[in-house]
Amino acid sequence: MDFTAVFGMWDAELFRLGPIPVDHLIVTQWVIIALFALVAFFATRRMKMVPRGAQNIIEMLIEKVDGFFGGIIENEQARWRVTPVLCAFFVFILLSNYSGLLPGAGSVEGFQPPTGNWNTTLALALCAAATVQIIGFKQNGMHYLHRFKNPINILEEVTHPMSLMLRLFGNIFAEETILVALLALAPFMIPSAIMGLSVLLGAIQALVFTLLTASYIGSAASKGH
Amino acid sequence: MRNRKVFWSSALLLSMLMVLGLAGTCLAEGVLHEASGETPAFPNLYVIGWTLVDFLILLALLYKFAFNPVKAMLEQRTHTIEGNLEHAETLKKEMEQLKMEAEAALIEAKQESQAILVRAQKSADDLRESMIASTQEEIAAMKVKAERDIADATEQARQQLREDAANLAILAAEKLLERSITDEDNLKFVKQFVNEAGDLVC
Repeated sequence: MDFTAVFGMWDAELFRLGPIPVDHLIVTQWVIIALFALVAFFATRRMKMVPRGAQNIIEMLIEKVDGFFGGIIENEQARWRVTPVLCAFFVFILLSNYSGLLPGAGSVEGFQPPTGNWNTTLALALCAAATVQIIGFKQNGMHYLHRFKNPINILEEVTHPMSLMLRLFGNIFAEETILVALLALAPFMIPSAIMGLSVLLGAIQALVFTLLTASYIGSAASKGH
Repeated sequence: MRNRKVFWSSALLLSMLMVLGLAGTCLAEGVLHEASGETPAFPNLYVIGWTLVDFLILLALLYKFAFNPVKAMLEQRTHTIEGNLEHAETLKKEMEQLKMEAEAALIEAKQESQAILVRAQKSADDLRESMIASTQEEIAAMKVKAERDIADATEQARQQLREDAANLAILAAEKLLERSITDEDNLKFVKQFVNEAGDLVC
């Protein structure tokens, strides 16, 4: 286990699960998923007709994701199908981004936001691309293949996930790098200001990734192709 | 409100101090490192694979604990709202029916009260007219009686006057003749005189 004392390179192996190595990043992802699952479990354990407390949060999350991102998808059937996927993207990216705001994130070895690593963002972009293709085939059947007659469209299917991956990684990695650099240079006040901006940036990046995915899904699901 | 602001400001300040304290400690211990800006190793297939698995787990958990319960609740809420709306519609129709019935009853009551009023007015008029008629009859009867009484009294007075005049005439004749005449003898002359005089007097 070699910890390189450089930010961004700490996605080193923490332990092995059998033959499979588990990195620090993966443990952070597990914690994020466990946190969300706990909140969702307790919020929806006893659902009430008039929502109260955490039930409001989960209901609002689903409804807002469906209303805001799902609104882009014209096909109602596809929209309802992908709402949970979009919701998962949004929650995962948002919580991952915000995990970088916790004290020590990016500065303590092994603790950094998962979205600050392009292996994670690549996996998310692959999930988005797979969802786009699955919905495209589900809604249009084999007619969906006509879309690939044009080479530009094939190129588009590659550039879309690549842009999703690089955008998210670039933004979060840059933000974390700046934070760490500022914390080392001026540990008082200035990093706090950047952290305030990071709250906004984290939400915006989660929003942009989900919105673009919804847009690609909407485009694939529409009958025009 | 002010207390809340103070509380949150204090919490924020304390958090910042804790962050900075931790950063300082880390820096002193040599745990914290300066950023070099070098990008992470790529591609790390294990991280990519784990992230895919984690995302699918999150999706499954989201379906299980968030999406399905919320969807079921939304459907239930939709049914409840629809049921309530239908119930409200039924109630509204019932209310309209009741309102129409109440209005009809009101109109009927008004008509009935109008009829009662008219009847009362009529009976009052009848009563008044009958009372006027009976009063007039009574007045007429009283007038007739009074006239008759007057006539009787007049006749009685006339008779009394005649008798008084006869007596006066007798007294006067006695005085003139200076002798007593029997009543029976002179009554004849007196009555003749009185009749002639009475016609002149009355």
